[in-house]
Amino acid sequence: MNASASMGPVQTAIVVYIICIVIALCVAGVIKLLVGYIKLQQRRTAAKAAAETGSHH
Amino acid sequence: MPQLDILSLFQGIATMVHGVPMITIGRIILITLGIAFVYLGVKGTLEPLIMIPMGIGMAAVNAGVLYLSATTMGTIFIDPMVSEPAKLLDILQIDFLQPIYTFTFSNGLIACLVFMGIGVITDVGYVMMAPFSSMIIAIFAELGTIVTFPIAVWMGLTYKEAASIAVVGGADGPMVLFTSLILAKDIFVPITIVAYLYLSLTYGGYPYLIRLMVPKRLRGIKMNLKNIPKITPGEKITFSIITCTILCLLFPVAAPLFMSFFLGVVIKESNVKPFIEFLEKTVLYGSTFFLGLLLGVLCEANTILNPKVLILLVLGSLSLLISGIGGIIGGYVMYFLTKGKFNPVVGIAGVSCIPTTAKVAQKEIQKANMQAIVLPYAMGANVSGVITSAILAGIFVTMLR
Repeated sequence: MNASASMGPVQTAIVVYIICIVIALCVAGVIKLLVGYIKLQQRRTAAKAAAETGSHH
Repeated sequence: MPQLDILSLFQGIATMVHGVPMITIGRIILITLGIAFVYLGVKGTLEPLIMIPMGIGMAAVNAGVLYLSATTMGTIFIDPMVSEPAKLLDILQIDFLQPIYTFTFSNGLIACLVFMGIGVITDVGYVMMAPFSSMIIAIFAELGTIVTFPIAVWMGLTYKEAASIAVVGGADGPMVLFTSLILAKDIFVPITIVAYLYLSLTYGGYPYLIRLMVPKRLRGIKMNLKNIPKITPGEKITFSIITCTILCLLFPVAAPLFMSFFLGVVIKESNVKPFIEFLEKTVLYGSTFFLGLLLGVLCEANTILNPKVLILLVLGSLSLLISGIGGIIGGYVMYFLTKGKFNPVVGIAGVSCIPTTAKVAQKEIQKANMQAIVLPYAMGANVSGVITSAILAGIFVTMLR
């Protein structure tokens, strides 16, 4: 089905742009979450290793 | 002794003399244009990788028109209009570039191959270090696509044709090729040629736009490179797989392009050297070469002399111009959001002509301040531009197909 059949060109352009903005920002959000999660894991691992080294002493 | 007709010996000239005057004039103009492309490509004014094979192809195909039968004229290079299977099989055995056109061009394979090559030279780490600012800039740099679409419809193009030419604003050659092949197959040749012609001009035109829109004081802003987080290859691979899967789920029509790009990225980050070398050199350069050559031979006067070409020329340049302006506006938005710490020139890199616009931004900034380095941020905006262009192409194709 042609989704834009009932829309004028300006409306189509606006709808396309809004969808693009939402998806692009979601992709940016996913990246941010992913990088944040990975960094958190790295900090936890580092802290755990430091704690283990401390307990051995 | 039989009477010798000199013209029948030299059919290229004979077809010019006996052809329709409009087409003959078109052929002469296209031969001249082809030679000019080669000259400007060799000189470095236009992108030599595309323009040299394209120019030679253009000149040769318009010179090499012959009588295929007593009444029909044509070439033995390529026939882009043939679609009937039996006829296609015949043509495949006659026209020497037809196999490459049929099996790599008209199904979009060549665009995917170029995208694999682009993926393998792209560092997604730049997007990952500042995803929101990169994406905001890229969104602004898509203004050309969005604004040109209704203008193209008002100028008499159908929605599908309008979307195909508007995508030129994303400044992504393979994406334009892919979109126009799906949406506007009848005019995909002029659209793709307009796109590649203008893309090679961005390198020359955008510096003037930057100087016009950004005062020297702001062009010299130094950006902070100390707090850039280190992104490991594992993180980049995870990002690529997740993003590729999400985008393929959302836009299955553009899935081949997404897969090709992220495959290149994953191969680069996996450090599989034989594949990297293969994609970076053989695939990328091989497909760029044939892309240029095919675009050239598709510029045969009969194919390209379409009344819509002039409209496409105007719309293509308009789209790229508005995208450039939009990108710089995005750069200004980031400048104000960061209270003057962001160099607005980086905005031009949101236009996804990777890595050309990022290099243009860096070059212009260094002219204003030798110590200012913005390339990591510019590359981030550049990669985001590729993603937003793909998203827009995916939306247009899904909605209008």
